[in-house]
Amino acid sequence: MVSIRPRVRGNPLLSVKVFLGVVAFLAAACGVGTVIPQGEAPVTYLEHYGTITGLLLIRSGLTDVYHAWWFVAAEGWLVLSTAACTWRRVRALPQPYRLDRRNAARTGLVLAHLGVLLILVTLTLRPYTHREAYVAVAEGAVANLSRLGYAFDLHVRRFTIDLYPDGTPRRYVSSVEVRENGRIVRRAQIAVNHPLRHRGVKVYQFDWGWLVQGTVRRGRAVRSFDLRSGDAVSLQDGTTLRLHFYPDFTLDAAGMPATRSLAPRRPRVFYVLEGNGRPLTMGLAAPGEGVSLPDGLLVIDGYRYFTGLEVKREPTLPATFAGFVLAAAGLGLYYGLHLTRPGTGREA
Amino acid sequence: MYDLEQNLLAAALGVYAFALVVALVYLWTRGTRTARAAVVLCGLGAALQLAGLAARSAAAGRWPFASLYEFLLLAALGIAAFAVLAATRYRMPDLIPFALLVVVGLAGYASVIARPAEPLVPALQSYWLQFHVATAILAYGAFTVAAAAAVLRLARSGRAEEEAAQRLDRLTYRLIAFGFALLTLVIITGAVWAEEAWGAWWSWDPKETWALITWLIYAFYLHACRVRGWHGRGAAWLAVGGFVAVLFTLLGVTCLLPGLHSY
Ligand code: HEM
Repeated sequence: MVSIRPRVRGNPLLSVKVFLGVVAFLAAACGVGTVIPQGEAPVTYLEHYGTITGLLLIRSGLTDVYHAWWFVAAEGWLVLSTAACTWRRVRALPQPYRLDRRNAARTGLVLAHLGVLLILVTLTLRPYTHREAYVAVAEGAVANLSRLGYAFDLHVRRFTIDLYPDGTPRRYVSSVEVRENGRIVRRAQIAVNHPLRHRGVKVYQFDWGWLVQGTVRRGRAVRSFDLRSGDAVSLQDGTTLRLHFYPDFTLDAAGMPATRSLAPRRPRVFYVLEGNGRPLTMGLAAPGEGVSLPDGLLVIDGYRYFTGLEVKREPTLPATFAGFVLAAAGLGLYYGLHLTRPGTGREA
Repeated sequence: MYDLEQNLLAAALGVYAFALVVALVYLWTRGTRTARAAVVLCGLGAALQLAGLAARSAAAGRWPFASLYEFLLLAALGIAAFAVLAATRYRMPDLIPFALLVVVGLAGYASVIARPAEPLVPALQSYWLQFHVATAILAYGAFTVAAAAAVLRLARSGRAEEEAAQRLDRLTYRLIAFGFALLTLVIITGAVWAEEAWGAWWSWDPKETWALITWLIYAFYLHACRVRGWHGRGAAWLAVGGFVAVLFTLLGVTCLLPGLHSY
């Protein structure tokens, strides 16, 4: 059988025994991280677990396990011991190297450890090296990414939703122009599973929604708005006006506003005037018609899509993907040769 | 078409359940013919299930990879296929009862949550999803049969059975090694897909994290066995623990914890 056991020398803290301890620790920590909700606001924990337990959870890092110092330290330990082991097994390869079945299996295992190493290193570094930003851009508008430090801007020409025959969404597509210093350098489509790649940056189709434009007049004061459906404008007297847009308005079985489809067949804005967090009046407005509010007039001028784009730069991504390839190929090579021989297994 | 699919799948579940009864009778009587009947019935159940899934794919115009319901059926199919293969190849029909217990459980739960196929939402339209699910089916099959062998191993303690116990140890190791390589692919294809769809190849979503926990447990097993020379009951318990993590990733996470995954 293929047995690859270099004599383990070197730092005992990087031994297989300690490695097993670190693996067990990480597995347990990950488990805890899936049971306690992660990354909520501190009050949430204080309310849910009580002050003492809540504080203990927050202070110990259990409310953000994957970024707690002890978790990152364990990851780092895993990285170091895997690096040490990989190095040991590279040195344990026979010199001069002759390609036979046994050495191919050994090499496969080295590659697999190397691949895992790359993945672990980039996983540990990623929170510190990658940058991302979310932008919501109206149809026809330009996302000023250069102001955020990226090398280009995006002009969103159109946002479209393709539907299946049954009316459910099949594709969300943003048609964009890439502009560098104001010059159009490229036209592209961004869709779910088909991000735009440009100058080391990836842009993803993230979400979408409606924008509603209009005005509220009160005496001489005119307040215009261009608002995401669901958001609210605040008016001078401390009241707020919340607007929900429905392209194909209807009432659902429970009598609540809803939309039958995404096509603007019966566009309506459902407005709620709120004071002190409580609704004062509510009603429906169609684009172009005025609706009187208590001492005021609401006019909806129009509506259009916005597209939500996620912009990301992750310099370590090529290393991660190289790790994926190495880990997969190395394990395939190792087990492909190791498991197909009779009598392999526990005897080692 | 949905009727045809549901009839085939109900028949498959019935045959699996019958096979389980036969397999339990075999554990009692130890008759070779009973054993063979259990294996054949398990294979027949798998064939019916495959036909049902094919009908579903034909009706939906896509692979049946998109919901917990579909994946439960695929996992059951993978486990049944692996059990038949291992039972015949290694002449170990004793693996069949445990595997069938899991198959009947998964396929039975699936029949409770059955729903007609729906079109693929945009995020699921990816080749990576197909590799992700295909490798997961194989990994689940291997890990389940490994756990079956480990449970048998734990049931044997007498000195006289030393040789049989060693055979089971070896089988467990081989299946876990194979499953581990595939689980690595499951996680990698999932990560590449998440990178394309959401822009984050790893986001500590509970499903992802549990797949990682499972992977860590099996990495522990492989090193403990190969490098530290663990064997016997300790290693067998570890194999059972890994399988519990597999089941929790499949069902526990979906039912008990919040997350991004559609299943
Ligand atoms: C998460 C990181 C690691 C992964 C995923 C990994 C994976 C593997 C795999 C899949 C094997 C093959 C086991 C088998 O023969 O079935 C293996 C073998 C081995 N690994 Fe690792 N490993 C990791 C880290 C380490 C570390 C940190 C050490 C040393 C401290 C180490 C030392 C070894 C040794 C000595 C073998 C020898 C197998 C033999 O007997 O031929 N590994 N590793």
